[in-house]
Amino acid sequence: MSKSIDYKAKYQALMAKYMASVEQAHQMGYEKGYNEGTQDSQAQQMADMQAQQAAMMGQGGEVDENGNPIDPGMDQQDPSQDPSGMDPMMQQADDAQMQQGTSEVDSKLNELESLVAKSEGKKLDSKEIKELLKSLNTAFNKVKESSKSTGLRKSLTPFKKMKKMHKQVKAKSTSFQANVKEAGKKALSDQASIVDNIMKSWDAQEAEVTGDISKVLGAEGHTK
Amino acid sequence: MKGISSGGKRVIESSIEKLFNDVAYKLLGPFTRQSKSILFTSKGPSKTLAHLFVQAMNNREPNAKERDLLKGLLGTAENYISSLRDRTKSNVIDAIDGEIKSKGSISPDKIKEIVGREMGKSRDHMKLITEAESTKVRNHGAAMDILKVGDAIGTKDPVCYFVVVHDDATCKYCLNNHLLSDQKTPRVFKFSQIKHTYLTTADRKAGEVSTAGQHPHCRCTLVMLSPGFGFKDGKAAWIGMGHDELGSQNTGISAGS
Repeated sequence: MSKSIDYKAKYQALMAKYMASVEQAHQMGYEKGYNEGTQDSQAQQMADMQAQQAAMMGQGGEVDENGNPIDPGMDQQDPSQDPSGMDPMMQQADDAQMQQGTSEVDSKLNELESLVAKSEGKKLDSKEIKELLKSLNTAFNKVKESSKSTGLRKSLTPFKKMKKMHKQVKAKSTSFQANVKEAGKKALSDQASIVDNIMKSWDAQEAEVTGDISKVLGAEGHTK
Repeated sequence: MKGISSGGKRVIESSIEKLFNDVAYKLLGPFTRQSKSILFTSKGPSKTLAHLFVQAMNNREPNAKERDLLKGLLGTAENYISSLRDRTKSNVIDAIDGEIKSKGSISPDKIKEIVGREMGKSRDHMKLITEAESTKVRNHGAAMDILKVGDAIGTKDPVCYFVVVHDDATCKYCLNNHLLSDQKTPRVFKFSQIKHTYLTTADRKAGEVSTAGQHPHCRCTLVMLSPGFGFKDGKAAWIGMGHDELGSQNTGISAGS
């Protein structure tokens, strides 16, 4: 006689196996996603730090208490985003061109100075001066051109924007970024904007109230 | 000496009422407004407390229970605004009337001074209401989402924690009550341990936590901690099957103390 098959037990065993594998896959996926997210954020932080350091070295400007460069004259921009989308190699080439042009101008100016010093009391050689001025003009043009390039614009990253970005990063600490969902982050920023809007609306209408009260009191003859 | 006429008082009252109604409309949206006046407008406010609630609920369509909760929250906010509106009306009118009665007349500068002073007080109060109520609504929205997720994973009383925005402006109560002594790792609570009303100073000192935050404009956000998860360097991380963060924190605290 054939042995009867316990389908229920088989189904339950299969179901348990399936649930265990789903759970395992979920955990692995979650862990993987988290690890990747952490790596991405670390890479982003490193890139930001490098950009800040590079900009600081390039400018040699003042730094605030957090070691961030300060330049109140410049407008705000997020340094982590490159609006030009420029290749770093191209930027290096631009920088090199710019440096070369500047040093050329310097040397020509020195040459001109020495020529003027030598020829004190004497008549200057107009041909020599003409040549010198021409080469000086070329060097200036080089500097001018490279200053128009995106490389220089990038090196002149507006520091006020960097300061703002740093404040934002500081305000929304790393644990906040990691632990709160996008909707939660949006809700927090929306909350701030709701409060701002309400207060702006209040300020705009407060003057109207004063005007209305003055009118009423004036009409009733209470004002001096 | 004769003061402001009743007609004059009504005009002043309606001017102040208009300001409050506009502000309330911007905060609450087309919610039940106690004022009988009709507000004609071609567009509604884009961001209101209701918007914040839905946003904090992970942009989910609220169910009937959640709608009721939102109505209650909006009603409370409206009551606070109405009470402030009535107080402002009487304060402004009393101050001006008193000045006229005592001195016979009032100069435009004095009107500006009185209105500025009284409206300034009300402005501060309005800001407080807006900040406190928006924090409450945001965290209640988050709490609704937590309960729904808790239900889905079969947890009646989920473990939660507050994510603290840690900067120079963070207050000592947020740091002490929402974080462990390392000021980095979030302190975890059972959902039932979290209050849903405003905290008093005594509550804050006793280490209580609430969905209304530790104070008005509290930026701390309520988040659920799934079973098996804990914290690594202040960030939520998978620890392992059966890991109980609440238990381990309580054991740690009792062992440390």
